[in-house]
Amino acid sequence: MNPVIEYRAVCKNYGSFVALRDVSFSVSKGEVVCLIGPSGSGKSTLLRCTNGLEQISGGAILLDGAPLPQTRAGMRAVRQRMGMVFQNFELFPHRSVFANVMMGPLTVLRMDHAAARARAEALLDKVGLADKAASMPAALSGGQQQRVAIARALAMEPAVMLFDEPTSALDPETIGEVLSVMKRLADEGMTMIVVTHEMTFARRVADRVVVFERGGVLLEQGPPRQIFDAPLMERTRDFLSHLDWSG
Amino acid sequence: MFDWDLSALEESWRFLLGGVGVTLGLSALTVATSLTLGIAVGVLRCYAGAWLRVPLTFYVDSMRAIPVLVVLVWMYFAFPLLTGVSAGPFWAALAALTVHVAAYVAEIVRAGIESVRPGQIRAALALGMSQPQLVMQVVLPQALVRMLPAIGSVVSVTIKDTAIAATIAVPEFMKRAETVAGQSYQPVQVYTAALVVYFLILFPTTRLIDRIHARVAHLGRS
Repeated sequence: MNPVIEYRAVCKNYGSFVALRDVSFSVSKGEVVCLIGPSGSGKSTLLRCTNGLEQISGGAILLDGAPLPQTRAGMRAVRQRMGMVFQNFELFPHRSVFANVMMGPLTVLRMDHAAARARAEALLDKVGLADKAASMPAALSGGQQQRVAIARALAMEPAVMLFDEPTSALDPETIGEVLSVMKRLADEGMTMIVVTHEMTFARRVADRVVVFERGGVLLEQGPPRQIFDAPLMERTRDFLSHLDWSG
Repeated sequence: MFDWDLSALEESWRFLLGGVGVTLGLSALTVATSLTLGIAVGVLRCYAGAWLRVPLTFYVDSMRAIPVLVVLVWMYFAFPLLTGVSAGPFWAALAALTVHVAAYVAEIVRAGIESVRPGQIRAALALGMSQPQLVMQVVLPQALVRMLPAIGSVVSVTIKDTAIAATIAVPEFMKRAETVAGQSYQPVQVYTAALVVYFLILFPTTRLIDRIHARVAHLGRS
């Protein structure tokens, strides 16, 4: 099957600091790929390069076989096909939940108000927050805000969803509600790239897990069973063993 | 014991009240024009190309370096001679106050824009918004809310600064107070009344802006 997104020897430097070094892998349609690894290993940077929030320094990122465009307008068109969910939600604080979800369709897609409204209603219902439509983001819990952020990204009907540590800023008791929404999305066949420290989620939901190590190097990749139960690389085992607190 | 003879105020209160009207009119117009110009300059200083940013920076810096009285006097006496355009003292005062105050507004706007979290901009970009869309829909609304207390100070300074229009004979409140005080030989009564009137205009204004900010502050918190 043709990959939706393909990373070819992607490099990213900030001055002399190397954030990504020759990263190559691809993501097929409907696939859920979890990126794991220690902080500072370039996972979030790769995600930001994917929708052009950062420019790569070398290699190529292909969307449906075509390299990401260099023009602003071209990049905007690409971003409209990729939804992104951030660690800190980044809901627009001056707009209601409803307006946040409608923002993309109204502003970017120039959809008419009734259609945008219908779409937002359906999506808020889907993430279980239909009753919060009129609330302001500040009135919601972290988990609720993140679910709204997912609805906001889905409102653009993206081909791919990018999740950048979506549960890292959440209270433990609200993590589950966000992961459940993401699981449902995966079950519906959404193509997803998820940077996460939630190994249970990666194990249960991912089709493939990609392990990064410090210096922005792709260490190994494979189905979750292989990565978590029988990793090929010693350093993967090291990383995973450090996640468990063994006193 | 000072004799608080209020006859001058009793005789001239209509004349003085007319001056209050001119002061309020000049203030309202100046606030409106300098907010408009200041927001435009502030936004352009953040987003325009260098060819525009450099002259705008020069404009802001020079306005902060020149006393408003000098700008006012130049606008009234020099500008008409240089350009042949003479619009009278009221409009000269409006123009001088506007170019002066707008520079301060522009600085506040720039600080407000820079205070919006980069994550908000990333979120707007990730939705596929263009630069103008993200400025108008995401950055400016939050920045304006955050700027409100500082804008409130500028508004009150602006209203007070309209009093210097008296020097070019705009018939606003201060000018008329001077006239009444001079003619009646009752400067204590008249100027005390002037203190009270300015206080009565400004105190509620600043309080109102504070209350508006308290009510909308959460909209700018990201």
